[in-house]
Amino acid sequence: MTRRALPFLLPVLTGLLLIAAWYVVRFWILPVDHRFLLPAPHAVLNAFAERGPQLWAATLSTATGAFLGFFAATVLSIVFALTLSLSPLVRAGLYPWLMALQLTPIIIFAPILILWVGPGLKSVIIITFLISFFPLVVNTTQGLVSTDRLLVDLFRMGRASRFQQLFLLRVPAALPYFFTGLRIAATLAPIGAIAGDAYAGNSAGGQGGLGFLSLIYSAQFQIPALFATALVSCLLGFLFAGAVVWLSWTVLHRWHDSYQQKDS
Amino acid sequence: MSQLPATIVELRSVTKRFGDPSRPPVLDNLALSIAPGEFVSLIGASGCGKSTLLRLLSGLSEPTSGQVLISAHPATTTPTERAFIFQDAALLPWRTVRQNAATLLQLRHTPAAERDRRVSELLSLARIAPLADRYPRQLSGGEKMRVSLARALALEPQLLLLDEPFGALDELTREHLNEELLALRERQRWTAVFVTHSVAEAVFLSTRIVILAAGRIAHDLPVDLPFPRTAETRESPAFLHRVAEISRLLRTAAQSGSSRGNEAVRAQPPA
Repeated sequence: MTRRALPFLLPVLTGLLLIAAWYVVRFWILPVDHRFLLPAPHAVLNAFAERGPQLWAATLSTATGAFLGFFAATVLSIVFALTLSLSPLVRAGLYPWLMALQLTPIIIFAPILILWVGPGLKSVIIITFLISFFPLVVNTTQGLVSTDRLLVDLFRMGRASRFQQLFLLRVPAALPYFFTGLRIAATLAPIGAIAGDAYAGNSAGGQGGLGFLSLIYSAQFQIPALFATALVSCLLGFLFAGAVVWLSWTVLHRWHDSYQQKDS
Repeated sequence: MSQLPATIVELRSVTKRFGDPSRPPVLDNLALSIAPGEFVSLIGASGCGKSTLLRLLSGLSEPTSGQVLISAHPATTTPTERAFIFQDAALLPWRTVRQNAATLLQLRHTPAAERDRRVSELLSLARIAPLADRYPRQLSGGEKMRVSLARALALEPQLLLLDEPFGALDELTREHLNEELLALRERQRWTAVFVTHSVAEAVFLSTRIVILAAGRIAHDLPVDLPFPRTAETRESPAFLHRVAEISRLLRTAAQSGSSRGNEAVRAQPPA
């Protein structure tokens, strides 16, 4: 009973310790004239209560952008990975350009993008897409081309059609790789959406997401509200990562070695 | 009993080279015929070409020159049903035992009812019916190999090609599986071509043993021990005598093979 509860109790315990340490720093260690830089936890909660509707609207906006960008990246990366897995020549021709896309810092690319498509959700989605796409394509492609040689021989011996070889062998064999990419992309997507939003959130309607809100709070020196924004962003990240971890577990835990039960 | 054709496997001056034509071929002008119902073991030092020969029979590769015929058709296009059993069980980790055993039938678009019937039958023949819903990672090495066997035999093949299938298993499991392989053969009557490093295993299973050295047939020997062969067969003087004799022939064949300058044979002396 205790052993099973431990993995859940420990993070709660460390969390409580951190909050305690936070209070200690806030009220005993920081010099009085610096205390405003670190609002106490209850002040952050207060900011939540005061800014609730504003934060909720911003979170919804960012979550929408993050989800749509992430979803589009997932769908398109699968199509792209299937294309790349066709032959080494296709990979040689396209890989350097994929790299180029990934290596261009999003902060440089964002202003250009906003010039092209204008501020607002559209830009946020595209920026999220760009940041999530690369790890998905690279991992899924790697999975599609790393199929066990012996299994490929088995399918060739069994006179499998190309279609059968793809859908009964290569695709399932690539799933663990796909989920590795998906986990990386899921942690990047909310970050991408918030970074994109800091640039493009100033939409015509005036309703930005978390990135834009943090800029406003920063300009207005509303430090507890800034902390509240950080906390919400963090929770959004957890939501994305958690959803993917759950999905990955659902698909893989029965057979994949990464979910090996201890008793077998 | 129906009239069987005289041969199921026919090799006519088969030569196979990989890469550099100045190096000795892996298979050198080989001729071999195998009649239906035979159980032929190929033995020889590493690099003697036995696995290459098996791949030619499977149709996965083609000879550099000569003909590989299965039931009078080229191995790449023959309608004869063949099944290959690899050294590794080669199971799909995301499929249960039952689904794995059904894989090859599924590729053939065998109707579901027929597929279920054959798979169930083979699972119980291979004594893994209770494991039907397990995944490969939950199986021992011997159990995995049984699934591999069930998957191959569910095809009801006429020709079974086995590439050191029991090489990675412990001695006891290997002997059990050898006995069960023969029991399955009593029921299904396929022809087998079996590659192994173990002379004892070859003698126990085969009706005929072909010793390869440097890409040629050094010896082609019948094994006339009576069937059914059981655990007691391994203790009989006739069996032990045959093992000793063939071990001796294998040793001399491998030596003369290496003196002919075959790189691969020289690189790895026989154990």
